[in-house]
Amino acid sequence: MTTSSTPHSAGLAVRWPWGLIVVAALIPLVGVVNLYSAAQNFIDPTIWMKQLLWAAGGAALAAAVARVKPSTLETVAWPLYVVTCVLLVLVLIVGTPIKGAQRWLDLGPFNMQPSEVAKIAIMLVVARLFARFEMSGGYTLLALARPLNISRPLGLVALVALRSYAQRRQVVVGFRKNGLDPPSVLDALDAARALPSPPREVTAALADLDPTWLAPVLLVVAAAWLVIALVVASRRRFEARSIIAPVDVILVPFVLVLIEPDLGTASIVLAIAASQILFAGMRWRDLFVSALVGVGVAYFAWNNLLHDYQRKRVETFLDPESDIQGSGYHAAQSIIAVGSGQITGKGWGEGTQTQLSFLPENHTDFAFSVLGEEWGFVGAVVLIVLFFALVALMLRAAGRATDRFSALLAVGASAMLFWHAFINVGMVIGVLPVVGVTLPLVSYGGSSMITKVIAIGFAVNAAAQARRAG
Amino acid sequence: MKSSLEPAFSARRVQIFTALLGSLFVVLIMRLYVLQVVRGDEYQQKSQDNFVQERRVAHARGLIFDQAGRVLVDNRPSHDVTVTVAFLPDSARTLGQLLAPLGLSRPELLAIDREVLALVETDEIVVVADDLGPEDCASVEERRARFDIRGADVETEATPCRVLLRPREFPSRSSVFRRLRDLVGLPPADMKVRVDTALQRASGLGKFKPTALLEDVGYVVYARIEQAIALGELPGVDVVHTQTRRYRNDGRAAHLLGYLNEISPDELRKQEDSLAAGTLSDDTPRYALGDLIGRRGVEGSYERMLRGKDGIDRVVVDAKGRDKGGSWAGQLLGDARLTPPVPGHSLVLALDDDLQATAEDAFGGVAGSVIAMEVDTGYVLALASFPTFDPNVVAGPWAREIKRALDVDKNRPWTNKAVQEHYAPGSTFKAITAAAGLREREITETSSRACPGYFRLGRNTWRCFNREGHGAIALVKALQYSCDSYFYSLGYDLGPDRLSSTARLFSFGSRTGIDIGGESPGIMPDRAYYLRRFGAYTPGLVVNNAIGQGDVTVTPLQLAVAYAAIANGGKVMKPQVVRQVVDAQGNVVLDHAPVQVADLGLPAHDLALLKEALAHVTEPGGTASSLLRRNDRYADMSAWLRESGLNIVGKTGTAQVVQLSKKVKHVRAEDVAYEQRDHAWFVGFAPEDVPEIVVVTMTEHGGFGGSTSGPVTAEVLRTWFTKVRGHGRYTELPPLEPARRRPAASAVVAGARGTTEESAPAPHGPEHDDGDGAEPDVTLPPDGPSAAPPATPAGAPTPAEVVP
Repeated sequence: MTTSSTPHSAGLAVRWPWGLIVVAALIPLVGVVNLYSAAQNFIDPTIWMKQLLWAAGGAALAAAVARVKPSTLETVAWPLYVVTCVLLVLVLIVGTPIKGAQRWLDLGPFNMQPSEVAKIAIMLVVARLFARFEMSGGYTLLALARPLNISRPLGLVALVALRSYAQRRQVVVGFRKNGLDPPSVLDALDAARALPSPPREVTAALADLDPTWLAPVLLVVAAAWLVIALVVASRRRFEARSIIAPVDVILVPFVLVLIEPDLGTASIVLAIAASQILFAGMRWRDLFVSALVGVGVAYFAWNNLLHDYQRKRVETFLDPESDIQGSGYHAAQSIIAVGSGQITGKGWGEGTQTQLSFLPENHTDFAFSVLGEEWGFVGAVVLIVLFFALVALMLRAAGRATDRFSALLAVGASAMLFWHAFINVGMVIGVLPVVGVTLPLVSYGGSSMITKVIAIGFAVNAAAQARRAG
Repeated sequence: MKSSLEPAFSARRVQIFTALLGSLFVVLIMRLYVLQVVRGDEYQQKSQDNFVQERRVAHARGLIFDQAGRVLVDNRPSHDVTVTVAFLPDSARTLGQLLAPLGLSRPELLAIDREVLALVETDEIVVVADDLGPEDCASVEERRARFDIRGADVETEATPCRVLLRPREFPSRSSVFRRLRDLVGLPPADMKVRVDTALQRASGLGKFKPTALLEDVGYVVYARIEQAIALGELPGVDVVHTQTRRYRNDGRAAHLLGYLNEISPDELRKQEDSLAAGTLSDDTPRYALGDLIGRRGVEGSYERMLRGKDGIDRVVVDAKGRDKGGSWAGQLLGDARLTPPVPGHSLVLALDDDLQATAEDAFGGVAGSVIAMEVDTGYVLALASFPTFDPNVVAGPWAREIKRALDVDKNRPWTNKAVQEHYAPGSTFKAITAAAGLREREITETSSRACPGYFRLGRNTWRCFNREGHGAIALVKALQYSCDSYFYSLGYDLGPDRLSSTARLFSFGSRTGIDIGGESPGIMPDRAYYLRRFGAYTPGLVVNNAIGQGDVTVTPLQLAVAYAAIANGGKVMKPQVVRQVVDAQGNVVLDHAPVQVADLGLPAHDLALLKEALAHVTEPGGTASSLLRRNDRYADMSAWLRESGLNIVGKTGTAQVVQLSKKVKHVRAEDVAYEQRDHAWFVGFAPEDVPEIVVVTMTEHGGFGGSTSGPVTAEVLRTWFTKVRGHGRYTELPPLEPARRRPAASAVVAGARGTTEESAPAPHGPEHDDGDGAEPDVTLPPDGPSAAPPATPAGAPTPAEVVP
């Protein structure tokens, strides 16, 4: 803030926040070194080079992003959001299923993950939304949710439609083959889950919300609600905010990602938005109430909505070694890998869990376990400290930004990096369930790498803005 | 949007946020500290457990040699088939992969899977999907190609197209086992038993370890299986190299050697129990499921010696259980990764293979036994039991039929009849009665007893086989002629307790302590025995016992020990099968010196008397004189006996099996049902002056001892003198004295004996041509307790004929 820009460069010259950039560059380097070891005994030992290329490409993009004027980013926010939502719907219909989830769009030469774009889109949109929407004393729950908006009853109708669709699919599938035992009700649920599209787990969960009277009741409620909402909307001048609320903006990509199903990314999307809103400020009372509501929903879902197998998954998370041959296998092997690294690790390329394939997905989701095994407590702490430094520097950039949009965008970016790192390390060392969240800048993957580097670009942008302004 | 130069948000907010996120990171670091620093060792161990797999290296079981160092039992390389359950194909999963485009539910897939598995046997082609549109069809075909699924056909040409499966090729557990079965050629039922056992064993984490499926498949099958594995037809199946016990001479000496089979779950449970109780000593061999353990014979009794210790080869495996090879192991485990197996000790038997072969070849009966023993040492030179079995084939996957046949054979091939079976000794027992008489001073060399052709006690009469009677007869002649009356009256004078106390000295009525298991003690009744059994004793009972009938039963081994004692000057020796236990380096671990159990306490003169009396058995008029004149398969033996002039000292014996009524007397042996024919004994030792070896032959239902069992004993003796003596351990024996045929004791012959037996080999009914056995008119109580009459105190020997 205090440093002034060079007079000759007339505001266009950027004073780069070198501390942030150096930290941001160190982490992918650690990642590549780690990847070299993790992949050396696999089909393609050269993926570390690809990763390096992705990082370099991402850095170029990020540098560009960093130099773009914030107003331009603001302009891009909504179109990008809409495109992302369309892609998310598309992926559900024509996506390539990998390991039971449809997350990938086949774009000819390469695949892309719309859910990665969704993270960027959500942070832009939320930043823009809340940059222009201020409430003194913090936001209220009412202002965020606007229960009387038209979108609410419409959402209810969509839910009912989705549910009946799921049920219809079951019937169709159930009698598709002759000559075999007619499937029971439970089989039908399985069948619904086995559908390529739409989303198995969620449709099954929806179909499971049976009693038959539920759909008509919901429809009646929706109709009544719609009438009220229309009346309320018609009293005022018609404006967008009477149709959709900030919460809706967040919920649409959240739900679309959730039903891929991709619980990990969905929660990241939610966490990014929530972090931005929290940073922008909420009233304490409303914060408390929303926390209470969250706990209540979780409790209700645990008791009434979750299937046994889902509950088992959570229980396995709580004690992964109880089911080491089954669903706890990944978690347990990862914990063994990390724990067996002890203080100084087994040495680079010497990790037995990694090199003998006991560690699953060791170049993507479980990259941190490789590090923990081969570099020990020392290496793990160094990486975590690096992440903390990165996130702190990004937040500092946000704190120095002079406009709300840049600041909130930088907060969103740092939130993404933080939650990614926290959830990934947490699941790898057994404090969080295994949900398939990558370790930012370290796990192998182009989409993921570019998204993270662009996010850092947002923070650099904010920092540069501040310096330019100062 | 503000456009001031002030930051949009306060620095304090940033600080709070940073602190919040930082504290969450601290939580992670704390958890890492616990995992890596506090519990690091524990996880280090767990990771080690992951990649270290301990593989057993089979030890070599000790070998078994005969006295001359010839290998009787060794181990040969063989091939076992193992299965690793976790790597068997999962047909349901493969079906899921193949049919994913059809969107079938799991139950539907499982139903198809069941159908496919069920058809593996019949090998019909299954249509798993019909009426497929071209799109689904192409997509299924694409998956078939991508996953390289065998045994699946997609009719891409046809519309609508079908998906067909060939169950026998489609990768499934059933198809793998079916293919294996074809390669091995095992009946389906046997294969099923094997597979079920293996699958049961491979439960839990065991499914990642190779489990034994088939042992010793033979080289041809091994080659076939290896080929199929190379072609990828048998995922999860492996062949391992191991060793199999080889009994070189097939069934020879099977009962003495024993065999191996799998340890039973009961035995394993017992081992676990004693392990838990801490009562298992360190040198006791440990067994795992599927291990082989010695049964019967020396394999059983010397199991501890023969069994070595398995070694452990620690290998590094990856997550799929694949061995990563030496460089990994060297790097991770160092040099100390192999604990070498410890081979078992070898046994040097007293047995002589030639003698054993002769014993088995010469035996002409259906069931029975031959035992040859060194008289001075008690070393068992040959031990054969009939019918026999081949220990090579009684265990393992191919043995079921063979075992069943052996199990149901009413001639009890499993039983070692020389050791485990006891019979009435018949006349062979008269020598023991005579010894008792001398010991108890009831008789002397010269004291004679009258034989009027019968012995009468109260209202009961026992007939001598010689109706005319032998007149006044003394010990030597009485034994030589096998005069029943003499021994009836001697037995009566001795009484049961004095008779049995001498007999017990000879080892009758108790186990001899031979070093193979299952020995029967036989029965040597005394007064207490009868009181126990019948509640009362009548004097007639001992009269029967005196001639080796009645309740007295002996094992052929006991008879050998007893006659050895007569031959060797009164020493009762413990019979021993194993001379030495030798370790793998050839050091003698255990040396079995001869063990004397008792001394008869008879003066040399008395023993010489007995020997003298027994020496006439093969002389003209002796009960086994026909031995010199065989012209059948034993002709060579007869010629040798005549040439060498060797005199066999011995005794025939014919033990009645069933009581014969008066009506069936004078029947010819071949007219009697096999089960009702008499048991034939012949015990003989030689040479007469310094006896070296005693041979007992017992032919169940062989009729007359002299003609069926005699030649076998003689053949064994002939082999001893012509082939064994002077070789191996017996090189030191002094040369045999020149032929010294006894002068024909013409006075003795004197028409006392029938001559019918000279027309042997056809044995005759015991009634008229044998001095052995009881007087035929006297029907004796059969051996079995079932036939034992209830207590009849003060009565006559119950079943005896009462002469008014």
